[in-house]
Amino acid sequence: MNTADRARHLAEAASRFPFLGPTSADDLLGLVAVELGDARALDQFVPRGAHRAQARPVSPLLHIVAGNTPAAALQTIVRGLLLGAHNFVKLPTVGLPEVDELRSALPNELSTQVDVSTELPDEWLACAGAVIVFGSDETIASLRTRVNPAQRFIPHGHRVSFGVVFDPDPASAAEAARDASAFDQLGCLSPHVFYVAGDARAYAARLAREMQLIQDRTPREPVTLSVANIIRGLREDTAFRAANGEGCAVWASEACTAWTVIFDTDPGFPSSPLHRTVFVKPLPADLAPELASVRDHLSCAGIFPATPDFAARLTSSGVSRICPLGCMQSPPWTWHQDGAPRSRPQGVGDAPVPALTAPRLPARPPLPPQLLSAHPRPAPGPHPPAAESNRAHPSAHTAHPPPGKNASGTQTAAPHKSNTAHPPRAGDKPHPCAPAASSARSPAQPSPPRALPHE
Amino acid sequence: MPAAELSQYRLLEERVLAAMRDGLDDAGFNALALAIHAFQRHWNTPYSRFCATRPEPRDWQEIPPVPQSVFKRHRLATFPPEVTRTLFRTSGTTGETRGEHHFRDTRLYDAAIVSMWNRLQLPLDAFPVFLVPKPENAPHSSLSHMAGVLGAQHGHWLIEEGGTIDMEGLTAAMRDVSGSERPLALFGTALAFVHLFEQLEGRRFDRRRGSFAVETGGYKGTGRDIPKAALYTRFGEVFDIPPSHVFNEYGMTELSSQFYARGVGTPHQGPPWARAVIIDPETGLEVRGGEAGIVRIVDLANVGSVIAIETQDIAIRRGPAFELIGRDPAALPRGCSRTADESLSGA
Repeated sequence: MNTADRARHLAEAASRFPFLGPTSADDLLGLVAVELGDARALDQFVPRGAHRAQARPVSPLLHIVAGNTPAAALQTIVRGLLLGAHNFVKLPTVGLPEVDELRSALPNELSTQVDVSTELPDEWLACAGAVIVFGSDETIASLRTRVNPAQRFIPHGHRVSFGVVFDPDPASAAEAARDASAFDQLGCLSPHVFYVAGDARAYAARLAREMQLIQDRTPREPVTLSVANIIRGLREDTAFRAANGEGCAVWASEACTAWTVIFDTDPGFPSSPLHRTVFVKPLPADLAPELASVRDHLSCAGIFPATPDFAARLTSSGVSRICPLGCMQSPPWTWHQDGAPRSRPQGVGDAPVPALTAPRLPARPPLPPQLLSAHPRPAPGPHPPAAESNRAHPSAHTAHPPPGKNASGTQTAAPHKSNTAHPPRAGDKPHPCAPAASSARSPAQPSPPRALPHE
Repeated sequence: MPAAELSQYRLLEERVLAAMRDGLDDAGFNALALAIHAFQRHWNTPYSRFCATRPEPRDWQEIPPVPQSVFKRHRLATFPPEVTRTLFRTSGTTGETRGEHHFRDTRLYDAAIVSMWNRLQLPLDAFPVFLVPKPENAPHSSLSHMAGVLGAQHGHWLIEEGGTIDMEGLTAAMRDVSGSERPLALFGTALAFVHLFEQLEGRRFDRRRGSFAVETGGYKGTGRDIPKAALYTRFGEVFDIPPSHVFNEYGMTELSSQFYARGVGTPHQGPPWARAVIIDPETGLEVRGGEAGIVRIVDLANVGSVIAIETQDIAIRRGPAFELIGRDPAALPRGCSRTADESLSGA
């Protein structure tokens, strides 16, 4: 089976998972072309500078995947298969049904190239040519000690993301809500906070309405007692601060912890307990101090409007991806997770610069329900929230309870009245995150093939 | 007016002391809780502002609780700062903001400790051996203060200033116990006992009739967690104290009263003046019997601060008692045992 055949089968299987975004055979071949210079590079010798070369995948690949979102797991497996590698997949203890679903959708010749286990057999680790790990920093540190120098080690550890609204156009609140709700906010691309220019408090109120609309259409999955407890504590603590004149306010789902929006002027990057709990903060003149505490863990910035000029303001912020608001959880196949390419031969010179995808935001896209909610997962997965941490900065704020709200700033969302979002429907314009609408400049990821240059 | 506040405080204090002495039925608890709440709503300014955003409670269960975390950022007291005579602080790592509980005096606090031990029929004239720092070495530790109330005059204190366990002191204490008619009372953090048992390396001591142990605090993220049953077995192996004579104390800096569980697998019970409500964090409503939720305490001995406090702890409702599951694993390690334990865990 050559690369084109694999791409065709994989695209067909991937189409069963809308959260992966539109995936055609051409998209996948384009990924190979971007990474290796030619879509046929894995099948034959192709021109490469002054000589001809054929790429050969490192195989087998060991993927250690997490349970927070299925997207990262499926993407890494698809990429491994696309390259023609054999794939060992260590699943989270509770399993990952989407992986089985993907395998069952593949022809035998491909599905047999994927072995899965909820345990990590020693022989897998011993014979893997590359080890790709999604997990906590502790998990990664532990595994790093177990690989040998000849094995390529590709870690994806704790990451946090945020959004920046340079122009508080009310319409963008729906996009922000989409990003804060997708996969129940459990991905490393999920925003903890939106920095908003202008009236950030008013924007928070609009965002709250949009969060409720998404909840109406796609309810958040149930959470553990611990998670609910943390969210409740955060809400009550913020309400207490708000009642005492600090610059904060809470909007929250009624009689449940399904979603929470917290406006907060406290300095520092807020750590969200996730599960659709998001902060809104005024956009400072200089974001660097805000991001300093998490700079080494930054992943993605969603921006609105998504213009190159605004993107340029974030290129040195520490993020490895800048995308339009509403697209944070829909990276294109050519995305370099954590800024590093993984499908490309080593030594080609991959600078880990932020990759701006889809620099213009088209009209409002449809909202694929599948994008917003994966299967129930009992554990938050590899990027655990830091509970109540990171918010120890002393506060100095002014109180501005939102007009018409109670003095504490604690509010529940008015059930879907003024609605700026709309449910998905046929005929909606394409999602801006779709490859056709993107102008991705960065190559993609998983298995690292070796280039075998030949004269 | 501070004078008005003080006179009201004293009146309420007397009513709580009477409840400690005479008990309190449901109606009495409700009435006293609402009276103290009204007092706090008036005099505790930050809490008053918070309550202004909430409906007026019709019964004690509707009293707006504050999360423990609020004690880190706000001074929750009905009296001004200059009146504070005792200040308890939550423990924590360097740089971590600590919660503070202010007291104008510890009359109620001390009475609550003694009254509860009397209810548990724990002899106050026992021979106490403490595995917590002396109160003078930890003036802001509520746990050390508690130990001081229970044995300031005649106790053996085994935690040295550097945080290590005084093993020679233990030997001396056990020698004194053997020459005394009084039973042994061991009191300390669970982590301290774990360290003690490790250092004793198989030594055993004979039990004097009526001896008992009180452990508290859990392990607080030290990585030294051992099952409660295993820990209680060690009390039997080393001190000949059976699990049925080992008590777990559940308390916290933000409260003035404590809850106790006896042995393994028994729920925690509070005194008549302090009640626990296990609530569903999703809804804020009380869970049904047998269901798990988070622990909300209404402690009428907290007259000078706030009586309704929502904790980070998870428990299963067992009638009027609760089966403690433990600190929320996602919550930051904290709690009164940490002051005593910090140096131990680093040892």
